[in-house]
Amino acid sequence: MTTAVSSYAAIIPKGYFMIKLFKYVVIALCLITLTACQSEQNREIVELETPDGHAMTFMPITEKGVTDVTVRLAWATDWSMDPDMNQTVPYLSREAIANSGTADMSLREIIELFEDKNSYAMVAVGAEHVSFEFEFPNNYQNDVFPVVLDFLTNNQPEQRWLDRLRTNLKTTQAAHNAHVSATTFQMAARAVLGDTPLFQALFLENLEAFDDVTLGDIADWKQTHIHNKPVSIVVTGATSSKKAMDIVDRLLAELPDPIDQVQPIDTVFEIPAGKIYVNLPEAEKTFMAMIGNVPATDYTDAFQDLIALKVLGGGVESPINLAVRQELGASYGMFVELFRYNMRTRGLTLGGEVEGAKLADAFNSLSLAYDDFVTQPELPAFDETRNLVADEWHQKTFSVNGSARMIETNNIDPITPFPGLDVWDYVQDQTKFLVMERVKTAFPNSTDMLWIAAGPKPSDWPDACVVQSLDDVDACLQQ
Amino acid sequence: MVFKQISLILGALLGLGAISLVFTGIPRGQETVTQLDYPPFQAVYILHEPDAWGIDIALIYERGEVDNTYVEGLAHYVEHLAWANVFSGAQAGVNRHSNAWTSATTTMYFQSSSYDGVQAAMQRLVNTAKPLQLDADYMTKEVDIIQRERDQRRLDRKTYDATESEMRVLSGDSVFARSVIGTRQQISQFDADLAKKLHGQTHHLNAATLVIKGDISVSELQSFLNELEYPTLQSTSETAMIPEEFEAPFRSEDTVSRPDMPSALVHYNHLFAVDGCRSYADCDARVDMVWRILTSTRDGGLVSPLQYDAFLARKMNVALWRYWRDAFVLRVEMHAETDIATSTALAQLEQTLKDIANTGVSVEVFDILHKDAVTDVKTDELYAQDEYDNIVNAVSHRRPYYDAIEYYQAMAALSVDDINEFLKALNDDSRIVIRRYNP
Repeated sequence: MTTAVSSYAAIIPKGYFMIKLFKYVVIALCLITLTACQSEQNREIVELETPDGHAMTFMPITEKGVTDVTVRLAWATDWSMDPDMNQTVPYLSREAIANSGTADMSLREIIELFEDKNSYAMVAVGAEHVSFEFEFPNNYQNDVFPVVLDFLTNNQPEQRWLDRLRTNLKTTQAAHNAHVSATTFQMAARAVLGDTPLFQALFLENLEAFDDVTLGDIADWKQTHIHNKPVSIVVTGATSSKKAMDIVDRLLAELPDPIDQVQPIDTVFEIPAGKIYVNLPEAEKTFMAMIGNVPATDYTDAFQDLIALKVLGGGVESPINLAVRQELGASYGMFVELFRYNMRTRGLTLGGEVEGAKLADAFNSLSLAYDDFVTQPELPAFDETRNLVADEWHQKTFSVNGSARMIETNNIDPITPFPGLDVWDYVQDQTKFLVMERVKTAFPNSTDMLWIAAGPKPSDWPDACVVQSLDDVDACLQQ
Repeated sequence: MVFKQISLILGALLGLGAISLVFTGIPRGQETVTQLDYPPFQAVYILHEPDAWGIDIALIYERGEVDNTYVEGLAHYVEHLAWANVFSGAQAGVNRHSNAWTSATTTMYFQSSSYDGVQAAMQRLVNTAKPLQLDADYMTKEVDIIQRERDQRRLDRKTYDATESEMRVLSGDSVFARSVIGTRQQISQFDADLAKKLHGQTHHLNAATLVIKGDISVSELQSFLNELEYPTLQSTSETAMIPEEFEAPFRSEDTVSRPDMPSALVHYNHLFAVDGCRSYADCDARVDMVWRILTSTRDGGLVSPLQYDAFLARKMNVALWRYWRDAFVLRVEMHAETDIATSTALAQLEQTLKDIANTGVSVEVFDILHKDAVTDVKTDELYAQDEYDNIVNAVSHRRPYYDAIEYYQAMAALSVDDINEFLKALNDDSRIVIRRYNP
């Protein structure tokens, strides 16, 4: 390796040139052979319309060793906005569908077939969308596809399995809710969302609601959500566009028409400023967080946010860890991350577990470090951090099903970043100046954020309004 | 039951250092793994990955908590200090791309870097062997950080302390019973002088393996290695006496009331030995196959008789792993159905395990699951990162590294007799620790 190349690498990673070179070779070969490979270029994302008229997104992966094909469908739901709906039904439906046989095959037979063919099928539920995903090696398509179709259309959950799954979900969720960190975020969400169906859907606070779910509810939920008008259809992997379209048409031909018109969810929730301490007398530890709105207008912003957060909270010498861990000695580590309550409400949260006796000092140190960063962002080792973010996205989008999931996210939520194979091109455009400007203009000041902690000793944070239960939160914010 | 050391394999492991520039011959895609003999390191592995976006480097000392003769958890404290020792005064932001880890058998430090940063990153790793020169206040404050880490990892996790307690009983009085993180009281006993002493005993480059992955050639690596400043070498550090035998048979069964744990649970832990493996890869392939059988719904598995057909367990987790050399642990966690007593669930679990051990797996089921396993190993999307992880994993468990092709070959060569031989060991009394929670 020459010196010239290695010095180049400081600006643009070497792999970038190889990818570029590879592209040119592929394009050249296509031109020479005049085959149809222009439409089947490896990892090129294309929008297609199937013969039956379904719009779908396709990304072929024609790499050595890749044999899997992932099919992913998403349907819109407004279940989480309806106060008359039991918000535990989607979760129990997901489990019941995954753990039931059909008229022709027992659950064991389905499991064993998927196991034999290195395949799977799954349902994922969210507050705004429901997804169905299945994956199979391309040489097993004829074995797996009919079973997937049967599984999706003739699924027959049993009562004893429903009872078992109900217990499993209740105990798992109860264990999760018992964590001090989970309580903190649940209380914060209640402060933002109020006692809304969306709050119940996201945080499943009312576990008794699981007890009311019947097999009829499962069937109704499935009929409402699994139909032939998905809002996103994605196929990725080792197949051709022709085969991908054929799978989609055959699948959707067996599904019913939609029953209801789904209402778009466009509520924007404002995260209020305030200081709340959740008193948990039995808690063994103390957890703190600061939460604020960070709007994203497109995925450029979102990428800049990710780079900024990596600087703010990555590593023990990042600003917030220097302040709370290294200098104050109050925590093993502070985190910072982006989150969403719904597609229109995006925020950032920073915090972590702290020594209770140092809680007030920790809030002081954390907010000072954060505000310093927001007002005068310094971005040391910027190039490496930027590449680290790019690498993480590359890892997420590299596998066959990872690609499908990211494309679906992009289809249903255009503000989420999905630069695809051009991740390096894209990331290189995010300069230090752009990221600094983004932080200064879009990140909230700490005084505009919700400060919240949970632990066993309210006197650890005298400035806060103390709450005992979810119902106390509203009154606390009105003070 | 006597657990024999595989002394020949250990000898082979130690002997690897004497082989100079051994190409292990792993052309898969365009990656190659090369082992270098480059003193003072115990070994150096380079995984050349063309087109890699960055360089990953690990320095793995084959010394961990089992080699710590002082208060439990001190090896972990030493790791914190050695890493801080490296970064004090370093360019801000550099350690964002770093990590460190302590286990029973190793202390590991990791760096990610661009090509231009490789020399500095390697130097930082090597500097972990330098004597600790942190000020006393920092070292004292780091004890608080360890307490916070312990709280973060232990408190508020309802089953963690239960599991840790079970594993301690399972390990008997061997060095593996030592806690890597220590109790709150043990951590409060951490002392800077003891830490310096343990660091001096364990952080020797001649007990460390360097692993590097990226678009970097052997000759480039050698240039980097030549430019490194090495701390003054000390004599080879002693490793702990890892037991050749575990006291057996041993059975500890108890019921525990834990209102904070959400349901009636059975934890079954079985430490047992298996003789007759042809190689480490072969043994690990057997573990993989046996786990597939036990978790399968097919005959020979635990799932159908306990969960699908009999409705005794509403949820089950089965884990099987190599404990040390030829010793393995089977761990089964059963969440009993609401109307099933934990004693009933346990009795059925033990009977099912005996049946599986006595009957073995049928040729038909073996063929199906073996075909799946071979296909998985062959067609999994293998990346350089997987191979890097394989090397790190092998070194950190003080066993020889084998590559993906060797593992594939070992898996493909397995016979139903190999597996049934392994399954027989499930019937051994050896060491068994059972806890029934909220019976």
